[in-house]
Amino acid sequence: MSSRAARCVAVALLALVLAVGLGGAAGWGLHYASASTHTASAPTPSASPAPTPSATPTPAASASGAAPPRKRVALIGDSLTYGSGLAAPQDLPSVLRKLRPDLDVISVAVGGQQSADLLGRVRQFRLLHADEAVVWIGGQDADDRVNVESFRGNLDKLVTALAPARVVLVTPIADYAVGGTLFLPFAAATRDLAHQRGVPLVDLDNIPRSSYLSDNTHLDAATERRIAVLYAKAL
Amino acid sequence: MSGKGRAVVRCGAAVGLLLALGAGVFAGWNLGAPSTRGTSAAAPPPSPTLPATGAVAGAGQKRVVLFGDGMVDGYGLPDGKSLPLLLARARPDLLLIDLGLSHEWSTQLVARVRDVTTAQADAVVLWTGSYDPANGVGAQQYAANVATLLDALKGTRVLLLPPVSLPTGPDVSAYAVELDRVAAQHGVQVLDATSALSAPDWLDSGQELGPRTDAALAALLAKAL
Repeated sequence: MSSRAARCVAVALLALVLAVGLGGAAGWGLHYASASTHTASAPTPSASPAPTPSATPTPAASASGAAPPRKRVALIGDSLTYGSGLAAPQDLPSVLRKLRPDLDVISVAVGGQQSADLLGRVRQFRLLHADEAVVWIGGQDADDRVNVESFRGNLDKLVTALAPARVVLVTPIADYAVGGTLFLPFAAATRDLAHQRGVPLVDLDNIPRSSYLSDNTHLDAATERRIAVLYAKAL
Repeated sequence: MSGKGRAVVRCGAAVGLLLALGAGVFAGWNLGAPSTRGTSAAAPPPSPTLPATGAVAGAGQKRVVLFGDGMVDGYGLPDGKSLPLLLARARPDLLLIDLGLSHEWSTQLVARVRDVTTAQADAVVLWTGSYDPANGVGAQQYAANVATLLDALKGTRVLLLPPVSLPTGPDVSAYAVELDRVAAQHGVQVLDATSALSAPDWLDSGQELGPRTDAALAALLAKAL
């Protein structure tokens, strides 16, 4: 084989390595809810070192020398998104901004919100002109024993109403101050909806109680950071 | 290169390309429209009353946070008659971050001010106090809460709007006096909204402002911002 042919084969092998690498990157709690991947079991966010997304400019930006266009992301949710109990910059939005300086992250999270409350705020969300929206809701629905089908319906309407923004759904987690298992059907409904709508899902599975603050409702800084890393990969 | 060599190269490149493509799909790269299998309806077109969403929409706009209760949010009004949408229409050069929540009082705003301080706002419209009396927050505590908010927003231009007495609620003039005092201490402007708020219209609930008042306030803010 000539040297030219050898170079071509090397390119093909490089593509193969790239393929393997990208396939592996789809794991670690981040699921794209296509039929082929949704059934994969979701790992519990672990204490293993979190991969930090590169903050280097995109190739296009490097080539032109101009700053890349910033993608605007709306963080929609409750006190878990807000990072209640944590001081800045330990809260999730602040960590995400640090991890992904190329994103324009706007948090519109409000503590104690249910899915129905978010539907009443769609006008606010759409005013943001967000390219993407991360929706993490359901904990309060679970605490208040909202009908799961109503919750799912609200979430479905929200995904529709936020279009054309790309929506990323996040599964609700336990509120140990109220009950450690109430969230489970709401998390299952979120997974199912993500699968049905074909939208990306950040599956937090079952976060251990040791990852919570002393109020047993909100998450500690390390866990919020791990979730921010998952967001950074999903966006 | 021999014919056999070319065939090997073509085969290797094709396999690599297919694998890369497959992995991209597996990793969720959007190579096309996302699947909308199932019973869910496709997303409707954006409401004509709302600005379009887009990758670079809002680039170069001044960022203004509307922070307060449902009055700053136009709560209860249809999109086209609400304060934020009217203001957005009048001032397309502004990116409005509407953080108004119905019936909130000043203490609740203190608890969520971080979303304002991290919004990289060029200006903040702060309007609170109308629902403080009904929630047991006295004028002194209201003043302390506003001072806390202004301290948190130090360095950002803030426009204050005065509290409004609800038709069936207590008089809030003592709160307005406190607002003036705290604003003066912080060197912040209380917008003269007399023209809009001296005789406001109300929705049937008696808790939210009507379309005439929102339109007047939007015009006022469009000039002030």
